[in-house]
Amino acid sequence: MSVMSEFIKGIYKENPVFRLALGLCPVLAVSTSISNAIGMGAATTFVLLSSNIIVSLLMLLFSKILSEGGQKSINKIRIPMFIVVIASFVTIVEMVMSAYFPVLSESLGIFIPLIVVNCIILGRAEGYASKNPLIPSIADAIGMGIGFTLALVAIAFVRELLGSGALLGQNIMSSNFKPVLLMILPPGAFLVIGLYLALLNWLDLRKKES
Amino acid sequence: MNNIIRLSMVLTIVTVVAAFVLAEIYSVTKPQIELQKLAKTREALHFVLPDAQHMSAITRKVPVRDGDGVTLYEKEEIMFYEAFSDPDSQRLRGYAFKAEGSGYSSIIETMVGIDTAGVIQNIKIISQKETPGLGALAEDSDPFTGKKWSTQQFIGKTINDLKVDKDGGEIVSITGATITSRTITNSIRDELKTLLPQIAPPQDQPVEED
Repeated sequence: MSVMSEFIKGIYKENPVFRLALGLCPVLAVSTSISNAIGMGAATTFVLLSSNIIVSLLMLLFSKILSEGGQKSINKIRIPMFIVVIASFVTIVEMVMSAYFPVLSESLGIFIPLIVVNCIILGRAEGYASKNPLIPSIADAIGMGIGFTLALVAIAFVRELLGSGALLGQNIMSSNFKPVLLMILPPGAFLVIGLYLALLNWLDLRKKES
Repeated sequence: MNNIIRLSMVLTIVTVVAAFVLAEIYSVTKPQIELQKLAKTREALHFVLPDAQHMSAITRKVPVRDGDGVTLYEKEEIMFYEAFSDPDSQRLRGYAFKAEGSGYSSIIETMVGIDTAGVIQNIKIISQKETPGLGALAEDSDPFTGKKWSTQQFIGKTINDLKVDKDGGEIVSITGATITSRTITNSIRDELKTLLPQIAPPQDQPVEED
């Protein structure tokens, strides 16, 4: 597979939220407004990219300096190593964000530290970066990150519009519009994700039939 | 046995490198984060008492004790701020203080400005992590829902008015977030209760006669 197709697949064909159904908890939590979705998407993409790079390089290093047996035994501790790498980058994001982007860090709050347990990141480190060279790993991380961000924005678009009658914080509904409180709460996220999944599956089915 | 040593060696190296990187970034971002906090406090102070020219923090020493009750050292803690309407600290304008209480899902910190008679001039929510779209609305001074909650309604209130409508008071609470509204209101009232005796204006104090 070419680098380009590695990059493209994360956006639609293997979209982490809608296709792989990974990392749904942060999606539920921060997709209440588009600005939150963009901030979370950017933070996750950064962590994904950095951890994919380091994991790919680390595995390359081990394959150069260790014997066959050594590599096999190192495999036993790969998950703890990945977690250390990911947690370090998340901590870096958290510190940098609260130092230089205080507004964003406030609205994302607890969900920044929770990027550590976002399964997309460990999933890509384990499932992709540890088995592939550096360049495809970078393409994979950026593609997945953008796919995650787009999915978040797509969900946040519906939730913010119906739940608060606004887009990007700007009121756009008429004053008669009564916001649907449910959409702001977690059940609203479940509903929207389910409907999006159904829509994508329906599109796929139609494509197959024609 | 050899294998175990090798694995722990690798894991140790990975974690030590990660810790070193994190420590470096921490030392760079720490002052910036402190600065942001300070700027935020200053901004909140200015918001609640805009016409004050000079503020000075009144502190008290709080002993920090170890498990056996032995005082280790004394920590300085800001009790409230005295606000003066001239730069030379001659004319007392009022006081500002931080109220704190646990809301629905977080600790809510509010900066409150009062005049010398104890009438609230304005309040500002400094930090909260309440439910997005519900309790988090407390921060907006003009929330989109069109409900009557607004931090503006605290202006002109005194300690006896501070009760939410569900408790038979005048403060209109946020629909669906009574706990948040109640916490803000009650934390301000409680803080006022302890502070008012300490800051009673001199002319109100009983004059000792002999």
